[in-house]
Amino acid sequence: MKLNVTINGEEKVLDIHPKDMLLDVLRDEGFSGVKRGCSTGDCGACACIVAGKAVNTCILFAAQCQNAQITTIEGIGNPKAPSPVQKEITDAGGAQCGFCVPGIVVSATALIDENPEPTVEEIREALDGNLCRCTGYVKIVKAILSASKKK
Amino acid sequence: MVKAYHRPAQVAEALSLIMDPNDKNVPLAGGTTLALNPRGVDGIVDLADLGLSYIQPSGGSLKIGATTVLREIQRSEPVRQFAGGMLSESAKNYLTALIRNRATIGGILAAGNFWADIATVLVTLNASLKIIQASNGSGAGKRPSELVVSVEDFIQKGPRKTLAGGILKELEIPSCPAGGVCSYNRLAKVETDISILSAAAMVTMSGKTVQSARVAVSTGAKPVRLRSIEDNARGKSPAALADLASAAARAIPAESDIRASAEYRREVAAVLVRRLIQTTEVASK
Repeated sequence: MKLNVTINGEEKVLDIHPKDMLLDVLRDEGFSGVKRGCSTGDCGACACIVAGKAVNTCILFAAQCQNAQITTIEGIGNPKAPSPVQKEITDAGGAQCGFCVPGIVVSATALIDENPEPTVEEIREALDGNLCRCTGYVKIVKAILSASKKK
Repeated sequence: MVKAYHRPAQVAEALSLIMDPNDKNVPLAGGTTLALNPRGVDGIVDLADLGLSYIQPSGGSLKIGATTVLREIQRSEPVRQFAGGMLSESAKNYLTALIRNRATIGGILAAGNFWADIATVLVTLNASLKIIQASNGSGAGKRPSELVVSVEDFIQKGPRKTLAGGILKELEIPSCPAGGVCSYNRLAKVETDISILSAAAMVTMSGKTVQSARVAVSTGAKPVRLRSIEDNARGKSPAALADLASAAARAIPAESDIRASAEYRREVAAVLVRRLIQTTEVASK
């Protein structure tokens, strides 16, 4: 089946199978910043913003995203032009092994987009589905707090 | 294996796809449970375009469309103000934000995820479900029929039997009665884990004694009402009710799994329920 989507602002028509998960479709399209962690919706490494909401793409049928706007980590920023969240996480030492960081940046960006001045409690709630196995949560939350204030 | 994806704009079309005798087509709301195990499914019937995502305060009660996502329910101001906030709080305790942004209230009930704390809360509040089914009658122009069942019956009989090829349309949740206190608590290893135990109570007082009580406890699999103590609650002091409820909670059947042993669940259920009734007493003062 054909899937019409806008990925990071670019309209695309993709050839997908009804059983495909969005994660696999995005990675096949070259968006390798979208990570495969647990494949069961537990870890949040595959998070992307779909229709304005941060979601796990490993348990989302791509077919459900017909005509949706999708933002992957690649659409948020890159090393040359980091987003405020990316810059603060880097400066704060919030990235250790780095595997969870794309998902964390996605969750934090979706949060700040709808709530420009979140409290620590709101940041923790928005990130409750992003596991960091290096357990760097304190610096990550601090970084997101200062990124939101700077925005 | 999933071979087809359908996204009907009409309920009648969705029902005929689900009733299709040749293909096993299953309804999909958020998809967060189905995507984990779509084995044996031929086609997906996405309910996203049926207009079933809404939260409507109606009189004292709340009407919530079946495909409303849990994060909306959690954050909605009318829901936060409703029944002492326990509906919003239990929605927030469903797994993670990344899942709550997709998982729907109807979807998790239809999928049988009765371990969710929100199931315990819905049973306590005597919530009911509206189900739309294809009419049995033949001929053109037949209209789908509607059926109302309590969430408690839906859980006891199971989704497959109760739905019978139909789809969930709406939840209606009566409010906590005036002068009543609604409260809920849970035990989980971490906030985002499935609860080891959850319990909710709705207690009304008449002066210093209890007038009525409705209590549901889940020892992991699904909520069970403590009917024996509900029937004897009237006229008891809150402390006496807490003792009775605690003893009744200890007697609920429990299973052992990776999160806790059956013995642990029964032991702690007694404590959790005692504290719940005690909180209710404090809140009513």
